[in-house]
Amino acid sequence: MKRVDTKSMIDQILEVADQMQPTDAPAFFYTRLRARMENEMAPAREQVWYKKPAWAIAAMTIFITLNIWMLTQAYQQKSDSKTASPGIDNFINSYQLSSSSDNFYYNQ
Amino acid sequence: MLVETCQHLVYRTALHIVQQEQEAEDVAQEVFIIAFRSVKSFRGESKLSTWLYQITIRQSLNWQRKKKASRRISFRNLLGLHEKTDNEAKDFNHPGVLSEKREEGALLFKALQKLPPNQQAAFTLLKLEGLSYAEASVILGQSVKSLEGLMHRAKENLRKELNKTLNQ
Repeated sequence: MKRVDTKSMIDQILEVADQMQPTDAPAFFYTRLRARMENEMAPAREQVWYKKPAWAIAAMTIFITLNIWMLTQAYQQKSDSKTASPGIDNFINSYQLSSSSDNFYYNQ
Repeated sequence: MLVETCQHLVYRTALHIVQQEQEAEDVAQEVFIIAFRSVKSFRGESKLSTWLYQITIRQSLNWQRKKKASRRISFRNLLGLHEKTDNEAKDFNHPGVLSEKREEGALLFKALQKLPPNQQAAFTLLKLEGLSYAEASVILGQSVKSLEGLMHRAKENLRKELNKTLNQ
């Protein structure tokens, strides 16, 4: 009896194929297809190397580093020149090179 | 114009084999893209629908093959952990199946997935799409006689598979 039941169930299952309703494509299928085709057919935009974000960030970092370095160098030179001035002043005085020592030549 | 006329045919055929609505739409889109790219190779010796059926069957079976291969070679399987196999694939409720026959429909499509690709294609075209043997034989590139044999084997295998499922 069970065998007949299984057979009739299988027949019922196979009959489903004959009773199916036709299925339509989903709504807006054509719109999505068109968008996909336009996307695939569009030429790939090649990014120029300097427009790539990684390159831009790297260039900016180098620029800022250089600026900081140059400012540091300028500050250091300025402070060096201040500390050296007593030596230069002694030199000027010993050889009477200041403007007040112009009389040295006139008096000779 | 081509899409408007044939979109339902292509989508429906893909859905029978792929058994997932979103994936069937992707496959249907690929079919039309292939058709547009290779329209020059269409010599007009057969009907346009025949040509589209051929591309759809091929693309759908390719999709199915890739899906099965990816399931077999899944990472968890490589590690020896049990992964869901085809036997445990989700039940597919085809939108074309009458609501009172949902369960039977799910069993039918589950059994259909177990068939070899050529038998699956034959059953899809002849039973689900309702094509004649003459039309289906042109699509599948076989004689009517061999197609009849293929269909007979498909039905036998479906019965065996359903018998196994029902007696579990």
